[in-house]
Amino acid sequence: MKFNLFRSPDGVEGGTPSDTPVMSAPPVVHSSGPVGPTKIGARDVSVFYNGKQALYDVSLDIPDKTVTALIGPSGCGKSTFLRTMNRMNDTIPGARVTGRIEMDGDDINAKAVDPVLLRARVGMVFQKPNPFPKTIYENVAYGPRIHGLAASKAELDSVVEASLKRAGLWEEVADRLHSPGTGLSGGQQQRLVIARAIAVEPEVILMDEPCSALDPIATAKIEELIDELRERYCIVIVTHSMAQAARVSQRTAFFHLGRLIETGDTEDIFTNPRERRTLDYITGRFG
Amino acid sequence: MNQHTVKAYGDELNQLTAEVARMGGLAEAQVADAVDSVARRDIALARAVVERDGRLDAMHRDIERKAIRLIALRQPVASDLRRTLASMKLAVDLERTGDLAKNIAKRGLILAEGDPMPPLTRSIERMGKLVSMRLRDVLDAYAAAEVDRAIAVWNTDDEVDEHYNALFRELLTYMMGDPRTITAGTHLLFMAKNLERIGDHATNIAETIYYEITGQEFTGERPRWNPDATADTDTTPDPTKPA
Repeated sequence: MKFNLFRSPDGVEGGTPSDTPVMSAPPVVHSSGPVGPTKIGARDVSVFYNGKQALYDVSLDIPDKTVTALIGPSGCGKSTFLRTMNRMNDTIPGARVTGRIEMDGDDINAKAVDPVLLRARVGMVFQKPNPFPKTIYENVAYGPRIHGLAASKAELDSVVEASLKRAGLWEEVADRLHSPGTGLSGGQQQRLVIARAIAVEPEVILMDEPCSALDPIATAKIEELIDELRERYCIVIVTHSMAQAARVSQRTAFFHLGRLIETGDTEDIFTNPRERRTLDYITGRFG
Repeated sequence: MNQHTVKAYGDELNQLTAEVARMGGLAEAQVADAVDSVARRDIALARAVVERDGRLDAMHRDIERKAIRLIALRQPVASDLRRTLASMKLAVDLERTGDLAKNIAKRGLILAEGDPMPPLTRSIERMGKLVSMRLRDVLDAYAAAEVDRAIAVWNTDDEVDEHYNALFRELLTYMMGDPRTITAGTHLLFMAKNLERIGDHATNIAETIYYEITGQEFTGERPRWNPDATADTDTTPDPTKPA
């Protein structure tokens, strides 16, 4: 009996590995299950930093009311791609974005689009919680106030309360709304930042490793929150934790060396990826 | 395929597969020896089969323990997850196969006390050879991770069913002709049924291999020998049916 102890890798036909020849091959797109209509559509998006290309022709549909996880090793372009969706690359000198990104069918890079207003519609949460050095109340009230979303103090109060409730933080801070936001724990600060993002009624929330600075309990709370927020928002999350991607997302996109390699239902990606590089990455065989 | 970055993880997976292959080898030997002991009226061999069954049970528990440990500590995904789950499923099929072989050997011990019934034990031997061959083929397919070979085994399940049904009729004819053969005939009938079930386990294993390697559920229509009114398709033989 011949022992093939290194079992065949994934592949549709009898375990044949699908080593897509490098560079220009299109990404593998799994047939998708029931997901919302496309909220953000990226077409041939490339990003250059000072002439050096960081992202190559990425085309990806991000469905509404769904959590989409972007995974891949460091430097694969997932954060770069995330930042194209609210034009955060505009703020980086030497950065150039080509291709088209549509939100509800409209080009977000069009001249008529005000990036500040765009970023109110497309909120962002970063790796390290970054509350303003102001009170908890002011952190959440800041956005609605500058965007003129509340006509009166009472209305602003109710926006702040609703946002903190939706971020699962209200009960913990209701009695100290006017103490500094920076005095909260890391997990609470991250939920405060999420409350701040949702206070301006965004449509999309981008999260760049929102839990990597948090302990497992705070992480679980954020993940639970993400699951609740999915009912109202389109959420895109970049994460280094494959387990987290598997837990919170319905769709997963795998990036490698600036290219989108494979995208599909999270369940498919984690049980039966079609691409060798995806398999190697999620099973811990990389590099 | 590439190695795991954490080498111990890859080693554990390989160990699991190797142990299932080893368990398969033992189960295969148990079936072959059980059938042999009946054909040759070999009491010592039959006793050895009965005794060795404990080893299969121990291996089953060991594989299950290792797989659970691997799931808890390594959180396998994709092909690694399927491989881990397949090892657990195969261990169950092989453990059941061992039980059925043991049962054949036990009945062989009882038969050895009576008169020989060469034509009937020869039929059991033929059916046993066929089932052993399928078991060996499917375990080779597992060890070599060859989907095509597993499917080939899956596709021939009806041969075993045909054998079983032919044996069923043969035994019934004997028992009706001479009621003194009823005790022996019943034991032989259960042996045939056990062999037929071992064949089903080989089919299960083929399906598991298919899933492990391709990630797809095996959806093929199970080949069934079209039974006429004389055939027994139930899990228990129905002696009231006319032969």
